[in-house]
Amino acid sequence: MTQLAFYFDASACSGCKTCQVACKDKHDSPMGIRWRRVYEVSGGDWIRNGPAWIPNIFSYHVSMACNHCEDPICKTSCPNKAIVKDEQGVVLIDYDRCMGCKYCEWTCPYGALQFDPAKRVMTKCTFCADYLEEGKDPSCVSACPMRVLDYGTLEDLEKKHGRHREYFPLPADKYTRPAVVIKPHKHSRNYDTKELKIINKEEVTG
Amino acid sequence: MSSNEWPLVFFTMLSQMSAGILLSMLILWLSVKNIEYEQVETLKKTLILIAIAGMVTALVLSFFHLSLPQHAIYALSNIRTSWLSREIILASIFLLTLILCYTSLQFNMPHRALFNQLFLASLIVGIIFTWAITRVYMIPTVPLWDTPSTPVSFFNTALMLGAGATLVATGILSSGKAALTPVAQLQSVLYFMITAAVFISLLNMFLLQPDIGAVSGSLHTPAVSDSWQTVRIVFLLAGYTALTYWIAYQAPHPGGSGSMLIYIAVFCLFLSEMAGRHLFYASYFRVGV
Amino acid sequence: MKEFDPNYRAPEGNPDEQGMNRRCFLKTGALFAGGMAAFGSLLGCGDDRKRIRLPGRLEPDGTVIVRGGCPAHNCGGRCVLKFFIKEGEIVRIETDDRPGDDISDPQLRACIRGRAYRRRQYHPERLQYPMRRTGKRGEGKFERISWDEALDMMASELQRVKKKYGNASILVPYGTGSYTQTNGRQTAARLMNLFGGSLGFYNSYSWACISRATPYVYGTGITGNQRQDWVHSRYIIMWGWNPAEMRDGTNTEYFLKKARENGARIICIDPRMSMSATALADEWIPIRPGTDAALMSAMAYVIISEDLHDKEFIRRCCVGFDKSQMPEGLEGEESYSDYIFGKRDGQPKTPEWAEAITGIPRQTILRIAREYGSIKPAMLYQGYGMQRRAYGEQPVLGGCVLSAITGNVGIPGGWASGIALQAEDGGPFWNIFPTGRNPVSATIPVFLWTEAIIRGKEMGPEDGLIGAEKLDSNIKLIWCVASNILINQHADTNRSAKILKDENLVEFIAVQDQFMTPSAKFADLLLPVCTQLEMWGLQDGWKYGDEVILMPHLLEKPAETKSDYEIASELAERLGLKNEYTLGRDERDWIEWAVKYYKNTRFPDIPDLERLHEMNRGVYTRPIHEPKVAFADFRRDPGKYPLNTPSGKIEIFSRQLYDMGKPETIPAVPKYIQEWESPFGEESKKFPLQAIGHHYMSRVHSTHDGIDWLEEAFPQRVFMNPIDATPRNIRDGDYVTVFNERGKIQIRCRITNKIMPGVVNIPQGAWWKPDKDGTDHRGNVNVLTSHRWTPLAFGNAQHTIMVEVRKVM
Ligand SMILES: Nc1nc2c(c(=O)[nH]1)N[C@H]1C(S)=C(S)[C@@H](COP(=O)(O)OP(=O)(O)OC[C@H]3O[C@@H](n4cnc5c(=O)[nH]c(N)nc54)[C@H](O)[C@@H]3O)O[C@H]1N2
Ligand SMILES: Nc1nc2c(c(=O)[nH]1)N[C@H]1C(S)=C(S)[C@@H](COP(=O)(O)OP(=O)(O)OC[C@H]3O[C@@H](n4cnc5c(=O)[nH]c(N)nc54)[C@H](O)[C@@H]3O)O[C@H]1N2
Ligand code: SF4
Ligand code: SF4
Ligand code: SF4
Ligand code: SF4
Ligand code: SF4
Ligand SMILES: [Mo]
Repeated sequence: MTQLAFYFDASACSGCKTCQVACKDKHDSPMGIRWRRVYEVSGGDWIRNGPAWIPNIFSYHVSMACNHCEDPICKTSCPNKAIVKDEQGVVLIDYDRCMGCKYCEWTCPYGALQFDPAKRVMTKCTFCADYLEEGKDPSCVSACPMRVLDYGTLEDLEKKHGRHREYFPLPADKYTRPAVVIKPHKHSRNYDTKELKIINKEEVTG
Repeated sequence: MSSNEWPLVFFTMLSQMSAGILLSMLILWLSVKNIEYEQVETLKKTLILIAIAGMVTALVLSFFHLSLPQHAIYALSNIRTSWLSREIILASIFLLTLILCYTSLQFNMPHRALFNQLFLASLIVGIIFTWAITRVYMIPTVPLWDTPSTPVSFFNTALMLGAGATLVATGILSSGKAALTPVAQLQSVLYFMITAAVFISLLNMFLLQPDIGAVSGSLHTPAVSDSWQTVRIVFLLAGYTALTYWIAYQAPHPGGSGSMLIYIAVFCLFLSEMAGRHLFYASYFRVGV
Repeated sequence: MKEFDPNYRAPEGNPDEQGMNRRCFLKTGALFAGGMAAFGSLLGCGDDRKRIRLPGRLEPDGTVIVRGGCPAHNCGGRCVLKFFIKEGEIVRIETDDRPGDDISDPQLRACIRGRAYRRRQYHPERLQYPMRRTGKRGEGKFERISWDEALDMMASELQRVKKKYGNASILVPYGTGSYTQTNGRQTAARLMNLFGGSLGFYNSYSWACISRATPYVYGTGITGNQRQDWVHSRYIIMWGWNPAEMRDGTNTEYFLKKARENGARIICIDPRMSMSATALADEWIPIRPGTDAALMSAMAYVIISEDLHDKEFIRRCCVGFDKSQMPEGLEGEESYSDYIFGKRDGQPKTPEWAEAITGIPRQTILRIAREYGSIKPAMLYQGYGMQRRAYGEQPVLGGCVLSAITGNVGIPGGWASGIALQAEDGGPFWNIFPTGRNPVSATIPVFLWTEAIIRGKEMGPEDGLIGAEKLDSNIKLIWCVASNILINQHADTNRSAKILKDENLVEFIAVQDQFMTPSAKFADLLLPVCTQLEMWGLQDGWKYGDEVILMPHLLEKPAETKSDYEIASELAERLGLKNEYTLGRDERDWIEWAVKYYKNTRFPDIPDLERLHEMNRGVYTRPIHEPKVAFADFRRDPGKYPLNTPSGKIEIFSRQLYDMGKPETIPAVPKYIQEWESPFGEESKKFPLQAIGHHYMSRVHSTHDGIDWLEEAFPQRVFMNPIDATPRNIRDGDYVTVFNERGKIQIRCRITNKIMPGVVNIPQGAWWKPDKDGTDHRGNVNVLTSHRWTPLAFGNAQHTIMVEVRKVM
């Protein structure tokens, strides 16, 4: 089985959210649902030195969708077998089986699962599976004005960029083994940092 | 905590109470010798009925948590990996065994042994079921739930509410009548069980439960409020004090029924557990985003 | 270097026919996601290609895919959009998909606003019918009328006002809503010019100071290299420049990423840690707003005193650097070096001096001065936010001079600063629709139109009036097309509203827009316009670019909307000017004409309209393999290729500025001048915070305000540092009022470390929404801004304001 994965270069992501809206448009997602969303992370302090201000400030953006994990906790926890992983490793939700219990949403550490109150089912990134089938890139990937999103097989991406992903605000790998490769920003910190926090909460969950 | 989790508060509490009733019955059975009285037979029936009512209510309420209940049948399909699936299956089996217990009592089947076997089976299913409930919440990505505190608190709820419900039942049965020795004996055992549960509850609250304040950075910071914690402790102590007063001054006196006090006390304990369970859900936060 | 593969040619033809791209090896199996599967609606879906002649191929589900342009609002970019049209409706929007995304000819990828365009296109509040005011002016009460009534009314008012007050009393105000030739204010300007003219204006709200000041140094505004050249740079200063957000030409942020990948070190000087500072820069240097000229002076101090300046270049190519090269007759005046070393004012412009003004540590100033002085080649690129300020001319001049004394002019990888239009021809045209000559010669600075309403007849050269000694009339009629300048985008909204409410001043206001904007609410006559997707159009790049984007007519015009061109044509008919105005052309004919215009000017190889339409590529491009470098000839041989300045050289000391005789506000060498509202002034006691209003991601100025997907992504907030918020007891998400003597707004607050203490940011462009007490509840920063203009350019100084913020209890 192949495992498709996303590549994300945090070092040059501007946080413009074009990817987020490209995804919304492609999938007609209602307000409140952002299969791909962009976290603004920041930390640090201002230091006053006489008349001067020294900015000891860190910040970067993280654009993230579902990571189509190798070990998807959402899938193992769904009682309905409504979450499946296809032969390319893409994790999909079967709307004809989901009962909308939202249990999977509790378990996924990437905020990928988002409940659609109109459809009354759990929804998530499909890796634009229909586009892949047509030989096209996922909508978010071809949208990015900074060209910092890409995808491929996890194997290839790791070969090319190394095995990096445990950066805040992503958790440690061990829970789900996410299929994503991240090039860190100069301010990126390890997942267990206490220095940083997400500062645009309303923009990702509001 | 969002309102859609109230069904879960009641689902878990009522399920645990039902399992706890069986546990209380077992303990009573083992600790009180002359248990063969007619009255106690009625007690059994009443208790099994309460357990059934608890489970039925729990299951009905759990449906309110679903957005597409018509797909609920699929919930039985992932027994292989999903604790939630297991929980739902065990809930159904537990209810089934309870109904069988009741039937065997109701039709007064001559073979007491059959009831005993069914009772034991229910008890075991009830315990496994309670364990499954705790496992549903011991999600690796939810650090405040994935701790020993969760099983301790869930089983303790079973102990407290099971004994509480049983106490209420004895109260109902003995009200108006002169307290009979076996009932008084039963009640002191139940009081002892509740004492243990209160003690464990406090222990869990102050020693086992992980420190919520330690969490930082995450998107879903726990929405725990101190006022709920206060409600929880106040009702716990109020309920227990009332119960202690009752056992010390009213229960021993022949003719002094005092059932009203039992009801109030157990109701306080129930409210305390409710607050606690609410806090449990509110303490949800997950690693990552 | 892959980017400059000389054999690379942009592929011809329709990307749909390019076959599968590199990813066709990926095959997806069973697709479970319900709703995602192609739901081929086989039942009688019409072929859109016939309804309005669309070029794309018909997909099995009845969708036609057509490439065109994002409606060219004044957004900082010009991008290709790929429209999925089904049953006459856009069902999806993607972007440029030409294969071979190479920097010689990169894909013109849309931003969030273009991708969300469906939500604007199909917004329920689009204007549909002509309307006439019923309530008081500005109240926003209207009744529906017919087009005949509307156009008759417009024609008779134009004739009445012309007769009574003359053509100079008519204003077609600044308006940047559309640059697609057949939609936009240019359509009205053409008609007015045929009608005898209207009050002229010069300058813009965007670039007043930078476009006015740059030529004093260089004699031209074409001071920028083509962007493909940036990969040659070793050091780039993004000075008040935020291309990740305002683009400054589609792909500018991407070119910077490439430059950085190629080894350039990038720093960003901005009061905010902008998206550009985060994504493009190695270092962010927060600066107190309005103090850039002080930092520039201190950098010059370090560079000159450490002998890092390019003496050879200065000697050959510049004048006014020091007393040895002062213009004839002015040898005794203060040279640049005199100013920097405090020869006259006794204040050497040391890093210590600048530290107290800018808030930047002296060590940092020293370091970046050394870096910029020694790393070659280097770019100092200035954004426009810092020149939309009091004395906004000074940082422009200062930047140009720094570039010159470090010798970064005329070399690959260098940058001359200033407005930096693209070499060698100035880049895109924006508007080619011919407006003709304006018979009214009187021309005012664009920012002073409210002055021309209240005291036009008194205005003279001291108010920037040119082309006439004085104005014959105050402004009496406004025909506002593709603009929200009347209320929203001009400074001091409450003042503008008061002026416009007075029917004795302006007697008639017509507004032509797609939405009920705050300006539209002040109309006497409101005319509904179709969007750019409902008609033919053509656009080129924003500031940079070597392309033309075709905008085929995609959709029917809804309800009773008309294009700006149609409206003007029908009005022309009523004014007896139909033939002169239309020259017998319809919208498509004009676009055909426009394509030919490009063929005759920038792009001799461009196919004709019919072919462009059939190709369905969205865009015609000219790949750039050898980027042009501004001033390369001049640098090589200044004698042979002199600049268009009095001396023919780079004027560090400007004789022209000197001759204006206002050394306090218009010095002959760039100087730091304390702003009229400043943290160092008395006003700061009452209003201690500086407020800026940057150009926000979710909008093009006021266009797109209230579009749900954009508001979800970038809500309107006032951004504030915790150091300022904590003593005011303000927490993240709280409602706050921001106020000064001019007005008051009330919105929610975002607490962020990414803005300098002492500064708040209220992104400009939110639609003014006053309650009955006049408090604005949407967050239009112009409620707080000042109408005072800059001394040289008469430009808008809207970013120079002091405010106070209070928590709403
Ligand atoms: N998303 C978006 N893009 C746009 C537009 C839009 O409305 N939205 N508008 C377009 C138009 S018409 C124009 S003219 C351009 C405008 O482009 P600019 O004028 O360059 O944009 P601004 O956001 O006003 O300012 C740019 C940066 O300058 C910073 N700044 C403000 N004051 C100062 C100062 O005193 N010193 C320094 N060093 N920096 C300062 C701001 O924080 C901001 O990050 O943008 C174009 N692009
Ligand atoms: N405080 C502050 N104020 C500023 C600025 C700032 O930085 N700070 N920036 C200034 C700058 S740089 C600029 S360029 C100006 C921009 O100011 P404006 O030129 O007024 O730009 P918009 O606010 O985008 O208004 C354009 C209007 O045109 C409408 N429109 C769009 N397409 C069409 C069309 O095809 N036909 C017609 N008829 N209407 C159409 C839109 O709906 C919108 O209402 O704002 C200036 N105002
Ligand atoms: S489109 Fe690209 S640059 Fe913009 S937020 Fe998404 S990943 Fe980042
Ligand atoms: S990211 Fe979340 S939803 Fe996606 S596969 Fe992993 S666990 Fe499941
Ligand atoms: S919400 Fe749907 S997909 Fe998620 S666990 Fe429940 S049934 Fe499974
Ligand atoms: S791959 Fe498709 S579904 Fe997934 S985030 Fe990107 S656009 Fe959305
Ligand atoms: S930059 Fe301008 S033209 Fe390009 S997509 Fe954004 S709004 Fe449209
Ligand atoms: Mo502008």
